[in-house]
Amino acid sequence: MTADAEHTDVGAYALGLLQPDDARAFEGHLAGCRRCSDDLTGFAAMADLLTGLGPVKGDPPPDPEAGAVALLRHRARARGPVRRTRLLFAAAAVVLFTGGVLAGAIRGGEPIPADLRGWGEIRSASDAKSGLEAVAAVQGKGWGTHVALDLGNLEGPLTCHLIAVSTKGEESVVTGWAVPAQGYGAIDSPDHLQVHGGIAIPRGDLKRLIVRADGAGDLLSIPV
Amino acid sequence: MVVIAEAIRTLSASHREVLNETVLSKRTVNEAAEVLGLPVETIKSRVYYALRALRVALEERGVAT
Ligand SMILES: [Zn+2]
Repeated sequence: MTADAEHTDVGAYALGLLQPDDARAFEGHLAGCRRCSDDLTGFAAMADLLTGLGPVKGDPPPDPEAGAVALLRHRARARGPVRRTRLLFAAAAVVLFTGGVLAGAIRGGEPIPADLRGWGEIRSASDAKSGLEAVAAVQGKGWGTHVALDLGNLEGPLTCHLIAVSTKGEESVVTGWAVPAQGYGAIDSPDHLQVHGGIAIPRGDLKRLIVRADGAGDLLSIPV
Repeated sequence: MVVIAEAIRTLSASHREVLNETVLSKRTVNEAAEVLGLPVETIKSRVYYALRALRVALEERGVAT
């Protein structure tokens, strides 16, 4: 339970994942927050799509078509008429899909990771020797700069920090994370890392981002 | 349905995990926090960022949300 609602609670609220007292606290916030009202509108449709789906494993079934049909049959059998109604709704939603057209966002010939779309300007860097690759999205805000980072091909165990460096050479820690022993896979694989953070440095004063490993020095520098 | 699962698979591991352990397993954020051993605030914030990422992944597949 939390006393104060946060903007980011809107995701859990839209999906109905807050406990009753927290949901009420958030509604108090929502009434006076334009940003959360807008987010809620966008998330509501996804709440419908996700309901009744069940956990999604990292590996796709070998034959997606057959797997999906089997899954639908299994679900319909296992959960009865109520679930079937939901499935029909989901099937109707599938009919509305206009096909997987990829938007033209490109980084050096490669698509921008989906996680980073909508988070501002895209910058990337990679280390040919270690294979480490990073794609960052930076976005100026009234309070400073929002930074989102996708990181791939990093071996653990390590503790890392993302450091922002201003044009004056001042450093600020954006965020930190632990790399498990098995490490992270390539950015286009399901097991890459994605983190978000913020710094007070205005976008115009931000020069570069550094991926720094405790005890192992700087791994990568991303000019922004 | 298949497209939604595909879109979820393109998310980063922590985003996929938080969706799997909350909405896709019918758990509240408080219940998921216990299962994953993480603070509730972390779960709520991950759900938020996961939804933002999922919306983009769905849009790329032509699903308007
Ligand atoms: Zn708000």
